[in-house]
Order: sequence, then structure tokens, then C-alpha cells
Amino acid sequence: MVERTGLAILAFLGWVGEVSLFGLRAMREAFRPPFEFAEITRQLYEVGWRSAPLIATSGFSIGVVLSMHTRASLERFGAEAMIPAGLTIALIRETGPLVTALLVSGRVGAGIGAELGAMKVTEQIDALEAVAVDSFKYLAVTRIIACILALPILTTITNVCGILGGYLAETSISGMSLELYFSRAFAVVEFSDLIPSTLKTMVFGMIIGTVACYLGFTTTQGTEGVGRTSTRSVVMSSILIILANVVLVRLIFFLFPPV
Amino acid sequence: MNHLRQGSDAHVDAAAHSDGDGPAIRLEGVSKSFADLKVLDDVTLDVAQGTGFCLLGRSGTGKSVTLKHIMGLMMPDAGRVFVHGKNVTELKRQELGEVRRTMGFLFQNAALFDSITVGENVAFPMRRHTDWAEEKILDTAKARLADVGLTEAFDKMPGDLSGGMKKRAGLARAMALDPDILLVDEPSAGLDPITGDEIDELLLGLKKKGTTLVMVTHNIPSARHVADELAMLHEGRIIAHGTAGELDRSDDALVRAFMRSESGG
Amino acid sequence: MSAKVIGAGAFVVIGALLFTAALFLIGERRMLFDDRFELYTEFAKLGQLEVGAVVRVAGMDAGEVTEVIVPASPADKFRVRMEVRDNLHQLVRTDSIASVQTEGLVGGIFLSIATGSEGAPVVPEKGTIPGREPFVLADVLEQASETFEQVAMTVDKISGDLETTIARVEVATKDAHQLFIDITPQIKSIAENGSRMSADTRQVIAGIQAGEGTLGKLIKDDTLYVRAREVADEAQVAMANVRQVSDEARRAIADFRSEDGPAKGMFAHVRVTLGQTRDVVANMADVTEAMKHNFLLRGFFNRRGYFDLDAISPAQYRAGVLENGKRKAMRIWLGSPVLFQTAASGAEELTDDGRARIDAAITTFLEHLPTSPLVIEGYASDGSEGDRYRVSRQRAGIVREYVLGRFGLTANNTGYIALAGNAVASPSGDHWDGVALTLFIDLEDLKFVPQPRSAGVPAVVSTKVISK
Ligand SMILES: Nc1ncnc2c1ncn2[C@@H]1O[C@H](COP(=O)(O)OP(=O)(O)OP(=O)(O)O)[C@@H](O)[C@H]1O
Ligand SMILES: [Mg+2]
Repeated sequence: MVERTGLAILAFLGWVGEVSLFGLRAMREAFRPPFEFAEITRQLYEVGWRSAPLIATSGFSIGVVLSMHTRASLERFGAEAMIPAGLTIALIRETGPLVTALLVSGRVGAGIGAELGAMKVTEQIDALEAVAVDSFKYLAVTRIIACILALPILTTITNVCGILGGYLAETSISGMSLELYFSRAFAVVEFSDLIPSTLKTMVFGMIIGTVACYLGFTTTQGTEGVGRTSTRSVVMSSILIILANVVLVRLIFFLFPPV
Repeated sequence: MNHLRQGSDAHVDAAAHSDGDGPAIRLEGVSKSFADLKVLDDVTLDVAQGTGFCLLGRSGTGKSVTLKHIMGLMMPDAGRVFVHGKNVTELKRQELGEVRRTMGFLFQNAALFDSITVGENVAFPMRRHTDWAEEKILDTAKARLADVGLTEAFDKMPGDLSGGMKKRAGLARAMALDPDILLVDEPSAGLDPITGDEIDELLLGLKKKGTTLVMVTHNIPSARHVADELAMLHEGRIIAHGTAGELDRSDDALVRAFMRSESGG
Repeated sequence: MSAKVIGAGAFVVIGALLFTAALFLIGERRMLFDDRFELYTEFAKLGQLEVGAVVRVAGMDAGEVTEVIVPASPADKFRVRMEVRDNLHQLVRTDSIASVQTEGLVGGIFLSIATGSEGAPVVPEKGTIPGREPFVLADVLEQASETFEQVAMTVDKISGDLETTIARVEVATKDAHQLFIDITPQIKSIAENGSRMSADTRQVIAGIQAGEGTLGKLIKDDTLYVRAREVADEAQVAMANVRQVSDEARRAIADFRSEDGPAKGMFAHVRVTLGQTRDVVANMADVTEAMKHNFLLRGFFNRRGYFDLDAISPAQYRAGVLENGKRKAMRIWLGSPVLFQTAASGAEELTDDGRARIDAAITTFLEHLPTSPLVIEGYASDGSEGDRYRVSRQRAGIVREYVLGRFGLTANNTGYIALAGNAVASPSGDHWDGVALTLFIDLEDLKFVPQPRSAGVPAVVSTKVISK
């Protein structure tokens, strides 16, 4: 039993190691010509623009729900005035980045995993190589870069929509004006709340892209394998995101100690 | 791109081997295993420039694997693969890319990029490797599709094509850059006899223009028609190698049985 | 393809714009893009004011606290440096007062600067304006309670004076008559004010107890603050009035002595009014005291050292509610055979030997006494559960009375509790017969090394057996 757990842990570590090497290689390749700008743009469209509606809707609902929760707890202390700030801080620091990353890992991670997995088992990746295209650069690097670029932007969209959702929830109860809401919302937010936690999502993007591409590139066993890749890509990137988040939050607290 | 070469007609044997340039393709003692399965076992063969070469063998003997070795898509466990005298197994990525640019590959399952149209599939290699104007790229792509009788499929998505149509679209893509070496994996599988013959004529035409042709097929009449030389792969080894006539007279009953069949399986 | 390029572009541009907008909202709030001037203020108590706290001038967001400079000695004050928008500079005069304020209970702490008077000069760059010390509810209640007590004493004194005077004086002059007519309304108004004040205070407490409006709401609405402060202020005014009245009365009494006696009925009238006043003021003192012991405010006051053992059950007490991270219980166990003897009436009373033991025990506590609360725990291990409770309560009460009288301890800080027979970790095991003198002491005040805590007992720091 212990032995088996030990082996599982070793296997997981080995797997993480391989994915990391894959990611490192992608980072190295990203800075070597030729640069696949057209493909990066296309992927940015797929990963970013096409995720935006999902992200905006979720952000909005999260804002509404968070606002109701904050109200329920702050009302008890007679601190309704703190609702916008409480919600904004919660959203910007943690909820926004994490929820965005998990949603994107669901939509995009699964998508990339399935797409590359299918390309792999139908020999399209070989076909790319056969027409003298570096499939790693063309498929993996571009998608990883697109994920890295898209996540901070998507997170910002989540945050903004969340604050708007919070505003609607709030104004429907207290009739607060948009201006007052925003001034209260940003009353306690610091640059050190917004910038590090938004930029940390680049790491989440890197994880999503790398895991999905790695699993896609290593897909075997036909259509069944594609399904498995798609699922594993979501599961693995979610786990890694949550683990990485712990480290990142610690790191951010270390670099920007809360006052 | 396409170099016209001498000796592209009959009497290939002598012509190819006497060519000072050496063979277009050479496999030297190539072995390849997948896990416990030994697919290629010390395979050695030459394909002279401008000739048609046909690889025969029963299903699952490693014909496709052999083609992928030539393309550098698979690396041998042992042995070396030369293309135009360059050892594919030792090339750097970039050099390998340069070699691949002179080759065309038709995958057994066509392997069309299914996220772009058939026309874009054919245009893809040109977009990547030429600085041609958009118009020229599209015209060439259309011409290639016309060659394989697929003019009407230009704007279709690969998913909407039949198996045989995919095959031909794949061939059009493989021919896009006018390759010196064309590797085709069962070009006429899934085609009606008439279209199959048209494809054979197309390949013959290319060969006449100096393209080195390596073909895998189960269609013996087509192989007789297109290839100057044939080889048969069995249990990882080349068990027969020569012209169609030589294989007809082989000592090996399997080879003779193979050569007697009338159509592909 | 081009639609995708446009989509990707739009995505990046919209994202960048939103992010920049957020940056701007933060920047605007921090006034990074405004001209600012620097100024200082000083406080003895900071009241949780921190660097980064918002500064408001006349209620308008104006800047932030940039530094809190810790004083070099306890006599000095904290210096608070802040940056304030330049366009508000002309409002901040040398007589502007800075104060630390809270937006509701959990609201942000901010520094409020009141605009100065027209005549005063504008504060120079890096100038210092006076700070008003943060307002703390407990302090106000304390102050109110003290004031009420003084008022009550003064009223007592007046009526006492009057009583004696009435006894002596026989006749009244017309002037004296007039004087009493003058004084009576004032005394009446003190009484009226007093009863209104205590009604107000009682209403606040009732509000808290009824749970109508939670504690937070009350504090957020500032009701408690404002009312308590008003009550304290009014009490002070009342006190001044009473003093004045008492002086006038004294003069009048002196007059009486020299002149003819006043009308006796008049004296009686004044006596009744004074009596009412005394009751009312005493009432107010009670109510303020009750406020300190109010359930919801208890946590708040506990931290400040107030206890109300009536509100704590023996079970809670055993579980250690009076202890916190720092404050631990320190017990001295005293056995009943030495402490008590049965009096002729059948009730227990302290023996001489017992008193000596208690004195010896308290002596070891004396060093910490006025600041650390003392609880007399009563124990009894004979008889039924009811008997044990009754006896243990009596014992604790007797010892508390003795200790209070003997050492003049503050009643507020000396409690007693009946714990019947159960005494985990007492010198005799799981029960005890007698009392334990328990000092709740901050570990920091403790000079000796704490011993490991025994299971089940509220963290006994040191167990010292004086007698069994
Ligand atoms: N990537 C791979 N991983 C594992 N085994 C493989 C791989 N590619 C081919 N094989 C195995 O190698 C053997 C030869 O396959 P190959 O595709 O070359 O056969 P083939 O001669 O082309 O057969 P067919 O005529 O049916 O196309 C098969 O047993 C196949 O299972
Ligand atoms: Mg095959």
C-alpha cells in the first residue's frame, strides 16, 4: 500500500518533470525564429476571444453571488459600506484569477488536448513535419504563448464583469450609484493587489497550454486516447494550477507583504 | 525545384546505378521495433533517382513504417537512412526541414489538416515555403487539385470528403511543392478502377519529369505499370527485390502468389 | 482568417483597456497623479491607524497616511505623516484638528481633518496640526460611570447637609424662602435630566439585549458612541449644576443659621427633590455599570479587564472563558477544616487560623492585585449536589467579603463562583472541600517560569498548597 502510494507519487513527479521539460523547451523555442505570429494570433482568437463570452458570463454570475455572500456576512457587522471593497478585493486577489484559470483549463485545455490528440492519432502532426513545418513550434509553442497572453486578459474580464455583477446585485438592493460603487470598490485596492495577482495568471496560462499540448503530443491509442487526453488535460492542469497557486500566493505575499 | 535528370526512361537499373549522383534514397541496415514487436530487421535498399520504386508486402509488415523512416518521421533503432546522400537520422532540425522540403508524402490515411479547407491544405506547403503571391498560391493549389480530379473540392472541409477524395487531396498536397521525391502510401486504395488508373498516369507523368517515386501499394497491376523496381517486405526483411519480371520468377512462393493477384486488398 | 485577426486584436485591446482602467481607478484613489503637500499630526494613542489609511479633509478623500513615527519615550506622541491633495491645502489651517475615525465596526480606519477657522493661517508644508485622541467607548462609559458616582455623592452630601441643617434651623427669612424657590427648579431639572439620561442608556442596553440591531449595527450607527458620550457630557453639566446648587444651598443654610428659620414645608420639599435626584443618579451609575457587563459587550470589556461572573456558568468558567492566550489562572488551594468553623447559628464562619492562611495566600498575589482579577472559587464535597453548590457558594462569598474588607480590593475585580465539589487537579485529586484563590494573570506579568498545564483544569500555572 505504502509502496504503491510511493510509486504513484514518483510517477506523478516523473510526469511533472516531463511536462516541465516540455514547457521549458517551448519557452526556449518561443525565442527562436521563425516566429509563428499568424498562428499565435489565430490561437489568441481561439483561446481568448472565443473564451470571452464564457468568462464574462461566469465572472458576472460570480460577482452577483459573491456580492450576496459578502452582504450576508458584512451586514451582520453593519458594514454594508464595505461590500464593494470586500468583493473587489476577493475577486481581484484570488477568485478572479483562480476561477478564470479553472474555466479556461476546462474550455481551452480540453480543447487543445483533444485537438492535438486528434491531430496526433490522425497523423496530422506527422503531416506537418512532412511539409517541413516544426510541429512543436507551430502547434505547441503558439498555443502555450496564446494561453500565457490570454489569461491575464481573461482574468481582467472576469474581474470587471464580476465587479459589474456585484454592482447590479448591490444596486438592486440598496440602489447604490455606479460611481459610488466603483469609488468604494477601489477604496482599498492597491497596485500590489491587482498587478501580481493578474500577472500570476500567466503562470496558469503556461500550465494550461503546456499540459494540454504535452498530453496532445503524446496521445496514443486512437479516438479513445483523444478522449482520455482531453479529460486528463483538464484534471492535470486544474491540479497543477491549484498547487501552483499556493506557491504563487506565498511568493506574492513574500514580495509584496500585506500591510 | 524539379531537376530534370537523365535516364528517367526504361533500362532504369543500369542507368540509376551508374548515375554519379548516387541513389536518391538509401536505407542501410535499418531496424525498428515497437516494444516487443520487431517491424524492420536490417533492411537495406536503394532507390535510384528518377525511378519508380514499389514496396510490397502483406498488411502490417512495416511498409508505412519504412516510408516514415525515409521522411525522417521515425528514427531507426539501428542503421542509417540517406536522402540525396544526406543521413536523415543525424540531421539537425533545420537541415531535416530542408531535406523534407524536396519531398512529398501521401499518408495512408491522407492526414489532411481538418481545421482548414482542402484548398488551404494544398496551399499550406506553398504558404510555408515560398514567397509566392497569394494569387499564384491559389492558382497552383487549384491546378494540383485539378490534377487529381478534385477541382470542385477546393472550398470543402476535409471532413466532408469521401475516403478516396481525401486520398487524392492528400496527393495534391504532397505534390504542391513539385517534390524531387514523392512517397505515396497506397495512392489508389479506396479508388474506383478508373480514377485509380488516372492516378497511376499522373504518377507516371511525374516520374517522366524526373521525380523519384516510392510507392506502397497492394495493387499489383498498378505497381507493374508505375514502378521500375519492386521489393517485397516480409517479417521485417526484404525477401525479394527486382523488376516485376524478376519477382514473377522468384523462388519464393509467397512472392509469386503476391505477383499473381490482380488487384489491391 | 482576417475575422480571427480582428477578434484576437479586439480581445487584446479590450483586455488592455480594462486593465489600464483598473490601474487608473487605483491610481486616482491614491492620488498618484495629483500634486500633494505633506503635513503631520500627533496622537498618544493611534487607534489602529496604519500607513496607507485614507485621509479625508472635511469628509472628502484627500490623500493617505505615509508614515507613522513611533515615539522615543512613553511621554512623547506618535507622529503621523500624511500627504494631502494640494487643492485642499487652503482648507487645512493651523487650528484644523485631525482625528482617527472608523467607518462602522469593521470599516476602514481613516484620518479625518476638520477644516480650520477662517482667521487661522494655512498650515505650512510639513507643518503639524493638533490631533484629537481616538474615542473609545469603554473610556466614555468609564468616565460616565465615574461622573455619575460623583454626582450621586454630591447629591448625597447636599441632602445630608440639608438634613442636619433642617434639624438645627428653626426659622426662615423671606430671602431664604426665595432662595429655595430658586434652587428647587434646578434640582428638579437635574433629576429630570438624570432620569432621561438613564432612560436613554437603558434603552441602548435594551436594544442590544433584544438583538434588535446587532452590536455591529449599533456601533456602526454610532448610537452607542453618541448616546454614551451625550450621557457623559450631560452628566458633567448636571454635576456642575449640582455643585452650584450645593454652594447656594450651603450659603442659604449659613443664612438660616444667622436669620430666622425658614418654613419647614419648604425644607421638606427640597428634601424630597434631592432624594429623587439621588435615586436617579444612582440609577444611572447602575445602568452604566450594567452596560459594561452586557453580554454582547462582554468580550469587549473583558479585554479591558472587566468581569461579570454572574453571567458565566460554572461550566463555562471551568472551560476557561476567563482565560485567553496570555491570561492564565494561578490557584492557591485552601481546605475547609482550617478555614471554617460552624458558628452557633449553624452557618460557617472563618476561623482565626483561616484568616491568617488567606492573608498569607493573598500576600503572594498582592504584587499583581489591582490589575489582575481575583476569583474566589468555592468548593464543597459533602452532601447532595444542591448542598454542595449552596455551601460552596457561601464559602466563596465569605472569603470574598473578608478579602475585600481586609485588603480593600476593588469589588469590580474580585469575583466569586460556586463550583460545588468538582475540582480537577486539586491537591486531593478530582474534588476539593474549601476554596481556591485564583488570580487571572497575564503571563507577561509573571516573573516565574510557567509549569506545564494539567489536563482538564483551566491552565493552572502554579499550584501552591497552603493547607489541606
Ligand atoms: N507508432 C507506432 N507505434 C507502435 N507500433 C506501430 C507504430 N507504427 C506502426 N506500428 C506497428 O508496426 C507494424 C507495421 O505497421 P505499418 O503501418 O508499417 O504496416 P503496413 O505494412 O503499412 O500495413 P498496411 O498495409 O496495413 O498499411 C504494425 O504491426 C503496427 O502495429
Ligand atoms: Mg500501411
